[in-house]
Amino acid sequence: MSEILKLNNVTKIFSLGGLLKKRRVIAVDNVSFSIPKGKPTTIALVGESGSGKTTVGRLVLGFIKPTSGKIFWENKDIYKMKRSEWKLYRRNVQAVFQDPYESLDPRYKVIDTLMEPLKKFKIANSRSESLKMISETIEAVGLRHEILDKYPHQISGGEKQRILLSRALLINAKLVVADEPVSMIDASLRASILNLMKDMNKNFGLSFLYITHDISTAYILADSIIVMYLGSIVESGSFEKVVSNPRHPYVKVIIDSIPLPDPKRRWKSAIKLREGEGGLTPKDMMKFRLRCKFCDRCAEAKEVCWEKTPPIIEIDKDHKVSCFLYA
Amino acid sequence: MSLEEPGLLKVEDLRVYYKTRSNPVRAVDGVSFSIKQGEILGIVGESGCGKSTLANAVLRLIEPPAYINGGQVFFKDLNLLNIDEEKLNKIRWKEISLIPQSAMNALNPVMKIYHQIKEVITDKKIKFSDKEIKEKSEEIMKRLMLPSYILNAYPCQLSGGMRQRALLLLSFILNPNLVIADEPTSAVDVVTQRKILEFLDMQRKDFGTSIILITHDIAIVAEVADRIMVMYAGKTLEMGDVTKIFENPLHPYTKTLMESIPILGVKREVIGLSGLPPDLRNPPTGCRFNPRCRYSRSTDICKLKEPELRYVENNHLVACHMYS
Repeated sequence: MSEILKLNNVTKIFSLGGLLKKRRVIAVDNVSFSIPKGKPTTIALVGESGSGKTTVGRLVLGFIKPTSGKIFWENKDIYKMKRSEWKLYRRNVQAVFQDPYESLDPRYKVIDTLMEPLKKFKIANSRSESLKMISETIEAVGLRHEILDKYPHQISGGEKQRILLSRALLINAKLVVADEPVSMIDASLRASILNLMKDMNKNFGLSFLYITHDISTAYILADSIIVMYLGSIVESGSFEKVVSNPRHPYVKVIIDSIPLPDPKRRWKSAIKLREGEGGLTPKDMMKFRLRCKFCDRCAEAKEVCWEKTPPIIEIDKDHKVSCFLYA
Repeated sequence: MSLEEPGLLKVEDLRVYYKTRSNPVRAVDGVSFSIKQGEILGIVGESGCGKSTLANAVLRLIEPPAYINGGQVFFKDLNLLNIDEEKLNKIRWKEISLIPQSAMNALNPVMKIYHQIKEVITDKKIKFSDKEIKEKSEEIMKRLMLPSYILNAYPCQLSGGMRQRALLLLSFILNPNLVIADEPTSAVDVVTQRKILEFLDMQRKDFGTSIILITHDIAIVAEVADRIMVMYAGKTLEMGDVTKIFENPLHPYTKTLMESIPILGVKREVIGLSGLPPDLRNPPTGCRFNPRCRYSRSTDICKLKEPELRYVENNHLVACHMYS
């Protein structure tokens, strides 16, 4: 099967500090995954802060270059693309970020924000055609026409996220990298944004890379899930399979720790997870690379976990885990 | 409305407004509740509903342009809104402590955690030796699953989750009767969130600490709270036992809140709420929720008369015309 997006052993190391004391942080460590072609898919990229999930998103968007490894878009290396191909890539892959208040130009009316990409990518032939396209799209994302004449400060956070999503629809993007798109939105409005993303996925054929720390919101729309821990993928596969039967000790703990809105099903026992060796100094990170990154907190760690990098094991069809327990 | 049951803290008809050039913003507008010894009360609401203002007002920590426009706050026979500052200072931290929102930035960046603990203790004129302080801290740190090296660390050397828990350590160091925790788990991962909630539950069980848990996330309230109070636009809409309200939410707003959260493992349609919370300078007449309420009709009472918070059954109060 061919892929629209494919990450091949992508690693990103950030160098920090001055000339004498250079420190290196491995934000993304040997990450590979792909999004199939012709089948709109939503992948939830999950992890705690510092797990590297946002860096993966930025790599896919082409904001930063990987230290090693390759990213392919329709079998083409995105860093070896011609100018015109790169432009098309930037059109095909769109972004929605966490803070809707910072993603829109405050001096632009909504209509201008939506007009710009149509002009830039020469999608519409005339102003009237542009207007027609915009009004159709606005309706599709559940916004009213009056909003077009407003400035960003006059509209709510939820409406801003809708506008950003409508922009992806408008220019016929194929993939949206959505980095925590609902974490700054109130719970009651959150549902409608998630439903809109699901609708865009099912009815308009857009794929999503949904980056979040909140697995329950991913439940509404994700087909598959990738769980990251300190830059590495620890478990991945079909969302249903991973969530109903997590295998990695870390994933087991996080799934078990998601609070359920049901007072009758509270946590039964105290959490089984040790504290890490304390902080994540970059030095540690280089050391961590040679062993399982989770072993110092793992309740089930064996000797081998401290000595080698765990292999990736296919537990089931469409369910992979990186852990010695299953080797 | 008055709550008859005796409590450790009793808030009556509290009103906190913010001065503006036009009408004041009525952020907390006539809120009453009480909390018993050893109870966890969850206060839930979305941004702008007044829950943080309420938390700060209880300890009189609000600053202009906010002002208290009426009401009473009783704590063990003392009216916290009337007593002088000196007396109130003795209560703060020793008897009631507040974990502020954005707690991650609430620590002093140029002081080691240990010295921040010591400062609290000396400020309250309690004579503890260094050894006693260390012992006390380590006891709480064990419960918080914090490693002992954090005492000698500066806040910037700790992760966000650790900083958040270091602040909990500070709030609980003098073993207060009541802790007001304003979003204590926002911006931490689920694992740390669970550690924090399990810690709060443990403190309540072992020391009888009462806890007011303010949050936008009703799932964490379901996890640890005994009672829940739902706020919207400066008002209490529903209050009662947590099991009762989760089983049978009565107020349309509470119902929507429950329907809008995705639950892992439960396939169901999640429904959101349309519209925006009202402008609290000119709140809608009648019920403040009526413009967004799916049961409200155009000419009916919802637009004319403000519903009173009243008992529908034991330990279950609702402010909605559907039930009166």
